[in-house]
Amino acid sequence: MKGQRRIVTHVGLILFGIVMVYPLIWLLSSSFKSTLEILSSNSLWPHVFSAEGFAKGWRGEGRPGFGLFVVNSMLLTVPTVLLTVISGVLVGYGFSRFEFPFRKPLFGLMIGTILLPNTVLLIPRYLIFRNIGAIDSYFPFWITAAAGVPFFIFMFAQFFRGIPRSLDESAYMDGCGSFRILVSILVPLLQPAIFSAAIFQFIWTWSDFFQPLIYISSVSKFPVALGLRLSIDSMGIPPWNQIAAMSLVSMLPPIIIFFTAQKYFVEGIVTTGLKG
Amino acid sequence: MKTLGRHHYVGLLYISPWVIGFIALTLIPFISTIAFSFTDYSVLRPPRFVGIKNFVTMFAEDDLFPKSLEVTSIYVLVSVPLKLAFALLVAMILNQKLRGIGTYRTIYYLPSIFGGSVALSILWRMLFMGNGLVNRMLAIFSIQGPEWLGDARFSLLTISLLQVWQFGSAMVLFLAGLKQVPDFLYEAARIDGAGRFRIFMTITFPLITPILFFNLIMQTINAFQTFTAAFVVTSGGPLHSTYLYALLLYDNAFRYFKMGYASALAWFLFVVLLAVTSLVFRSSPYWLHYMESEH
Amino acid sequence: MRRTMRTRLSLLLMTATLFLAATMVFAAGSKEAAASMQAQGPETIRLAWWGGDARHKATIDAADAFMKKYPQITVKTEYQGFEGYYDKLITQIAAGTGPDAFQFITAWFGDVRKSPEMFYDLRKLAGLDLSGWNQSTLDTMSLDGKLIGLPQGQNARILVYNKDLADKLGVDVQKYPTWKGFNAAVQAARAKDPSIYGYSGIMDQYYYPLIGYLDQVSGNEFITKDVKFGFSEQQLVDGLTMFHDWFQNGTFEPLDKTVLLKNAWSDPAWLNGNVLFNETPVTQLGQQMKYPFKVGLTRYWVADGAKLTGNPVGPNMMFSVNSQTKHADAVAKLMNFFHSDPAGVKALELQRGVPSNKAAYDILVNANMIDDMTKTAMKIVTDSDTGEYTFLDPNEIRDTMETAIQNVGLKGGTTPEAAAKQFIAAGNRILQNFK
Repeated sequence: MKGQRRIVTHVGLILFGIVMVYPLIWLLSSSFKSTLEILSSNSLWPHVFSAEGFAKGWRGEGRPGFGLFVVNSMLLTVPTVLLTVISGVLVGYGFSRFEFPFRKPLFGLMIGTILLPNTVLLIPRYLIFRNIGAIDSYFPFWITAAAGVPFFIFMFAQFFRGIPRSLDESAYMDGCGSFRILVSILVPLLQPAIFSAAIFQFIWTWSDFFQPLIYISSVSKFPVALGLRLSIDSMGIPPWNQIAAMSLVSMLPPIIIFFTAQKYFVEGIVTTGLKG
Repeated sequence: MKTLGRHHYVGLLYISPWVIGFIALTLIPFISTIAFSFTDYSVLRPPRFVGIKNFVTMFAEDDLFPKSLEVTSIYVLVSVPLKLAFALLVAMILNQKLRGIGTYRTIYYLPSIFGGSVALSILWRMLFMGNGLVNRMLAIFSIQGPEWLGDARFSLLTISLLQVWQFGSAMVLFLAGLKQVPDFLYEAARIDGAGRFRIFMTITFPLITPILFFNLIMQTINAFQTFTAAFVVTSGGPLHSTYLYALLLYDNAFRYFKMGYASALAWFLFVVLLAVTSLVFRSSPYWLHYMESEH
Repeated sequence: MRRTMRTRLSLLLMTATLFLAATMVFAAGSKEAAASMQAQGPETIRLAWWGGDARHKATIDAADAFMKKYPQITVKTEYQGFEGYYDKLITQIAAGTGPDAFQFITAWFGDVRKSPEMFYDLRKLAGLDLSGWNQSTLDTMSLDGKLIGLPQGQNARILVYNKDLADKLGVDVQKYPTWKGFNAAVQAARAKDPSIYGYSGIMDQYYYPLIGYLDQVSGNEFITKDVKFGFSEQQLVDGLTMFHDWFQNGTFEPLDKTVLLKNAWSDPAWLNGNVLFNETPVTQLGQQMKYPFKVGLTRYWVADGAKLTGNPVGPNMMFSVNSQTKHADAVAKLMNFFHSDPAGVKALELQRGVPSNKAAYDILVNANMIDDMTKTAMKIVTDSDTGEYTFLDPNEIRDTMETAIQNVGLKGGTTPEAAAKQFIAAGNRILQNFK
């Protein structure tokens, strides 16, 4: 009986898995087809293997090549991730290891801002950045990251809680300053959290569309998300194979990170999600 | 601790980036949104005070406002429960001792790592457009598929599907929570002869309510702010059938240059989300159980 | 004492003179240095426009030719499609980061006429050659007495038809210039082949015909200069009813198939040769030559007894200059190059219409660069022109009209009467903001 149920479960899971992942596989196969074949054939295997989608999509005819967009995304994302981690560690350290007045209410306030919908702050933030001339640059992204992203501050604070204070205390006895303790003792122990935060922030920032749409207007500064949209905007019939190929390219960094760092994904979510 | 008294003020230094950022990028904008919502603020001219005119327009004159609210509410009410249901169901199935659970988990989780990305929206367009893959596959079975995107009766459903397809992140959380349920509870229940449904209702469900709570709130807040899918796949159409609230806001702020009105819209969204969140919080004593060892 | 005072005074005077002299020499010297620096150092000017790939290529080529002639000036090109161009331009200008020169159209005048300070008065732009245009044309591009744009080409909208299909079904395209006639001809064709449609387009391409219809039956512009609608509610109801009927009877392709398309001429039915008509501005004719079927041109629909065609021919596109530009000199050179230098004019081709600047026009004629199709198109539209161009074309009005069209064309919409009422109510409210 149990064996039978097990087989049924497996079959169900496999079928469901196929349905779930089919769109992604189809995207993969479309990027190797010609546009005509994408619109006419249902098969996953291209009749004629064609790299035209990649070649033309990458070169970009009548608009900038996709390589520019990838570089831009890197310029946008990498500093954002670095600043997120640094500020997250610093602020998380401050909240978890020190007992200053108003610590509890401030911490509560910070967590409350996680629930604050971004949309509410959107327009004034945009106007603030516009008034300081920071529109059409990556500055708004960097500065917001440098101020600390509450979700990650929370994550780091939780991780700090799991590290025994005795480590700090013995270091203080030895005469170390708080910063030294942070950098030489605690940060090495924070590695899993740092990886998780970096991974999540990288993927979220890389895939972000709304914020770049609002802040970035020059085509030459478009990150991948805006560059992709440019490709479905051209006149005449959309070159679906190019679009599919470049969509795939844009999804590669998150996919690669996902497959190489899987355990950090789960660990990261679990830490923030469960405790408290 | 007293000997370390002065030292603790250093903590303020460490959190100073957040404090500064909070004041400049959160508090001030938050207050500004309220202030701007009482003004007429077009991009080329400075803001002009107009009292409650924007709110009057919102509630009495603008037909897109109620339409967008309606569309967004349906979207949230359909996609969030479905998403959570799938997440919980699949998590429970995967919680058994199965071979290859890691692979299944990966496959189900994969779609959700991209979040609201343009690539996925483009993919959805390719799949569901009139002559896209979905209709061509239906044609194999001699079914004439509708315009999934171009028909106002189906478009919202299709967009919701994209959201539900990404149930993986919620699922992983449920899985982690399920794993925390101690085995001995299940064994004791089984020894007592409890059926599967009874076990679920009395053991499993109560113990994962914290995760359900978290997921419900986060997913709802995110769903209310969905933008990319509606923007890229259907541009809010046809006939505003997918005109999610974030699109209404975007159009008014960045395409019609009515920053004052858009601020009023943003403020209203905040109020709605606040109400929904506090509703969930208020209802929690009735269904939220914490494990005793925590807190 | 007196001697000391005199000595001191003279000392003071001498110092002052020396100081003055030194300052003058220094000032003169630095002006020279600055001037020579300007001549030697590279300048960068930003040029922004919208268009399709063909126009992008032509304009980039023209900019390259300019840079060859003026190696110290770099032209940074910023280009994109029409959607979102205006929003981005205005946002940049409001933030002080606008381009030095940019493409613009009269349809946006209504929106910016309260802020003419954002434009450079081109009559005051030193070095700019305005001789190629006649005064009345220049007047159309003035706001508040300021000349704010250099008129580009003659451009109008025209119907393109699938000649092969029309011939096969015996549709005599020249015979029915009226809306009713068009419907009759299409229905006759559909009787022979029910799988074809008369016309299809993206939402934009239903907007223009409807506006044109309203201009024709009302005798007024869509939005008049005193910021009111020029047509009556009943006229809108009639227009929407006509559209509604045509979506049902196949004169228009069913709207749910094209409502989400963003790119003109990307409708699979048209590309597969199943639709008789499409429409285009004359400047995009180049795009129409790439189909697997032959295309022909004919005039836009017109209503019986119409006083206006609603399809104006005069230049409505211009190049404008940002009043905050720090490179007025270089911009003037660029504009002259585009309009009177053979290299520039030839590179730009007809991508912005047949030039209204006589010097440019002559260059193109002499180089035989005005192709037959454009000649035909221009003849068709000028023969029928009595149009006025829009001076106010806000995004919100466009969106609202497109909603009305969708309401009568899609399942789940409303009746033409309700759609018209809805449009007028919302439209009037929107127009308030522009008064």
